Amino acid sequence: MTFDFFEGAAGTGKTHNLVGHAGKLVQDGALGEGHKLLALTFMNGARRRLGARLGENLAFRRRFDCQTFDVFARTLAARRRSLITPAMQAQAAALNEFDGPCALAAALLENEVVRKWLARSFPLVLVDEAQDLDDHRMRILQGLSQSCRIVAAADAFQCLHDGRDIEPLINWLRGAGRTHPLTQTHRTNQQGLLAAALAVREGRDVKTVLTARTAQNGTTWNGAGFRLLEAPATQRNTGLLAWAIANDISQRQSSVVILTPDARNAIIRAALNTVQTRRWPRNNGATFGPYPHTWDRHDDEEADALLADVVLPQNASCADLLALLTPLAGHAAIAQTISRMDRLRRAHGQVAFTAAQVTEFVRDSVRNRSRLGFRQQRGHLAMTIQRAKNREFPNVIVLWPHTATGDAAYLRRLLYNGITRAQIHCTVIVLGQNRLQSPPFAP
Amino acid sequence: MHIVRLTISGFRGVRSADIKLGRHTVLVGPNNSGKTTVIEALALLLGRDRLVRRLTEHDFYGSAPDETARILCVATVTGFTPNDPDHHSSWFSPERGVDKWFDPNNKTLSVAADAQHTDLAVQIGFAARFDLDELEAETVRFFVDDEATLGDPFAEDAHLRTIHTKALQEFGFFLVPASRTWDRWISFSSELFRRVVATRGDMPAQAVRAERQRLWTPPEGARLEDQPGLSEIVEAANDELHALMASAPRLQLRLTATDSNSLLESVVPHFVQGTGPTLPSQRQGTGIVSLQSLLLLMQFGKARAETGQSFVLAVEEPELHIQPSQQKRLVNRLNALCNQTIVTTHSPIVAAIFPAAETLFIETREGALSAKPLINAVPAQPTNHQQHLLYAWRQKLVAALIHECVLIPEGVSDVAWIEALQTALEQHQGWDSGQANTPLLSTFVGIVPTIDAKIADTFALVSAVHARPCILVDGDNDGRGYFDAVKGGNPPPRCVVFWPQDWAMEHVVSWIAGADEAAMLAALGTTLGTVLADRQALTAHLLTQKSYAPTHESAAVTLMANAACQARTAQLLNALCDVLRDPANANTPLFARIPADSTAAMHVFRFVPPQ
Repeated sequence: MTFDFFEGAAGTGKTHNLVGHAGKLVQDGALGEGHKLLALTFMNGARRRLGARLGENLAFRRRFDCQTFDVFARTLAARRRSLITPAMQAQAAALNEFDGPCALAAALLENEVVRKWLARSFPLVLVDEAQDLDDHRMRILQGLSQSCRIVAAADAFQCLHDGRDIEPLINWLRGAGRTHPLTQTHRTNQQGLLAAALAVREGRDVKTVLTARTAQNGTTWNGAGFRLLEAPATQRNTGLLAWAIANDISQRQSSVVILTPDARNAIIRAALNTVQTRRWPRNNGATFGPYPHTWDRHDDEEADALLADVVLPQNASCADLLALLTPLAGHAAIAQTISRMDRLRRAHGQVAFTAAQVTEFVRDSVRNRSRLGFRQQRGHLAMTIQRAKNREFPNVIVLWPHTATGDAAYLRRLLYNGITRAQIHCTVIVLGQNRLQSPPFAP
Repeated sequence: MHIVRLTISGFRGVRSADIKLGRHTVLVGPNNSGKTTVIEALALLLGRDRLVRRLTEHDFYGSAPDETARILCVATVTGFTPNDPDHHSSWFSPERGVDKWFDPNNKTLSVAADAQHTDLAVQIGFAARFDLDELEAETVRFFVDDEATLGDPFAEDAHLRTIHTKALQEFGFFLVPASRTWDRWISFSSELFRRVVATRGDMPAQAVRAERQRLWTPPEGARLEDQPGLSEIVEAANDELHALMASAPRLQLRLTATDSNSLLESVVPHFVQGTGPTLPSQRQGTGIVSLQSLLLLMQFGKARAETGQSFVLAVEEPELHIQPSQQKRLVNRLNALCNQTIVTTHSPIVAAIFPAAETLFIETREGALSAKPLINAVPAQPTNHQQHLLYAWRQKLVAALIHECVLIPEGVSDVAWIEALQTALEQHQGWDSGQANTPLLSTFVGIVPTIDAKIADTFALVSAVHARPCILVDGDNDGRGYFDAVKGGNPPPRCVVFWPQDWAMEHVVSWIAGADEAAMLAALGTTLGTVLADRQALTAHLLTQKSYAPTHESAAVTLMANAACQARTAQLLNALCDVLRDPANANTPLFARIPADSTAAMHVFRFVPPQ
């Protein structure tokens, strides 16, 4: 079985090359009748985006199946459950709800029968962001590689798991077949943006590749497509940070995404709230702001917000819950919850539901809808750097608080990931003062 | 491919069933025993959608399905060629089913191949629930990944892969139901006929188009609307239309809807015999039509076999309308052409064509359907007598087993006498015969022929198949001995009947004659060509004729011409029938319970002739 591994830094077109190479294999006949490409990702967002990307390639029209590792593993473990031994079960039971099924799937894939069974539908498997493979998911890919052709891409520097030793993984990927090193950056041609990202990656002082400019508000370091500044900010005074954010947004031509390693940071939360509503004057009499934006929220938060105004009884009949929830049925997730309860009543005779059950149904529904890509967002987006993985935006503002912690290598990876999400411009705003002499900004 | 095992739950009268099927299996059993349920469960699993769409409340066990009621059928299918899942990706893949391995000897299934589990297999399921809001059934056909942990197929977290019609076409299941409208088979309204034409022949498109054209625009002078008698009516209608509608449409009459399809659907098969007239099939005897139609079905099977496709046929009552000589030939042809045949029958002749191990007796009690083979393939080593029953007397054996109760008498003459008396009595029944004179014995009790008093052998064979075996023995020490030989069986005979002390069947016949002794002695004397001084003489004479069938028949006919003897015989046979059918609650002065010999599972009686 062939194994093609694409390795390169952010913006070198890993995904582009990965999909292109798989497309070529398909055109050369890698998929027979009834076969599909199996594309595995880590998160649902990435799954959706990769699915859209594969859908654009004519070679894959209706001939791919894009799944997260978790769903793939859960389905495999359920369908081949008759081959699960008590030892496998015991091993999985010690793990969490996501890693457990992955461990089971990995163990099942040690069986040649299972590997061949999978290859009968999926002779070709694609994995992007392979640097994020943990031990269980690596074993899944290793199993698959014995019966399927694999195309994978990774950049060791983009692994955002603090403290994980990914050297064995990268060594395996490099040794598993043919490695295609990618060196040309395609995401942007903004030289300042490229130079800053490279300096962070290489652990140099970022400021050395930028030009310092001092004005009344303080010093900024600039390059083409890149800006670095400090914003003094405390719990009590977040106004200056808010102004810095709004001012930066006002200078961009298109939408801006705000990234931070810590979405719970109180100072950042407060400053962004101000950005939502406040209008600032300029010296020439013009104004800028407000800039509405939405947090790219965790699914459960969204679900709980939907139910915020409803008092769910501890235990209620289907009819009572229907009366309670029908006014909210304009929200698709609530409508789905109602029809799910109705089905449980009709197909299983369940006549009463607890508050916890209903909440879980709404959460499931929100999750499923976001999995299928039904969620809508208005205005600018704010999210964590982890959530932004593998995504590209025209303009990015990275807010770097004191609460970003970890060893130097981890902080550099985080910052590098934030900066490299930008296609046109990135501004890094460091909260506080005198932090630019230490990692991730300097050696 | 063929089905090796079928489980059913919650379907019609069957709460649960687990049936192992051979390559050519015949299902026998009394009416309402569940034969048709088995066949239709196969159709739900493997057939086309028509049957599935008409599921109603009555198709659910108990006829009153609640939210959690389910019909669930699972079939294990094997016989893949080649025997390797890699060659059958339409059955074994993440989008389809899971490969399992079948042991053809012990009929067990394993998740992995080993020395015994050598045959690749797949399990497919059918489930239905009834929606009380929509008042219709929801159904699903799916691959069964793990039967032991299948759970509810309608559960939210069931990871089911549904079965595509393409896979079912590959399997090629075809059902010939008992209610068949034969004359419509060779016609384009028949799905089967169209499929046969599509696979074996070619659509006669040109002829159809030409005929369509001719019917669409009939030649001048041949048009119906121009014919005298019709033309005036048509003209009048045209005038009306003219006044009503601006476009002034004109009425024309055509023999079909003038498209190809309606032309094809109006094709009616005709048959001509010898130099006789051509007659439509509904004017023919049903036999010829049945036969021709089944031959058509075989053409279809042949076409599939030639292209390496499988063909599995389920036929209900192939004996319908077909004379016995043809039945055998027909069934043999079916078995030769199909990968698997599953046949239901009421005919001992048809049943006897199948191997004993694949002759399944179907019986349903309190919802539990059992399917027991006439003999187990392993480990059975039948005794000489059992072999005789199984091979020489197969038809009689099967005919007896189809009844609700099975009676094993001590010898051949008992069988002969009971049958002769019963037949003669039935022949004398008039409209005015009351219920008491209606012998029910033949309806409910099947009698297994026994030779040389091999009761134990016969009983062992019968009790393995039938849940209600009974024995009838003489009132002497030998009879007692036969009883002792079987009473320890598991299960024991359900009912045991002794004739009175030192009585045999012949004493019973004399007792019947005693109903009108003087007249009967004279009449029988004439019939049998010997002078009979008294009942003892009659008994003694009959005992010399034990294996002479003409004596049984002529004596029975003579006796049953007499009203008093008729009444006595009816009384005896009906009492016997009651005792055998429901021995626990039997209440008849003719048979006295012997408490010393009876147990909860075995009821022992002695015949007490009223004086």
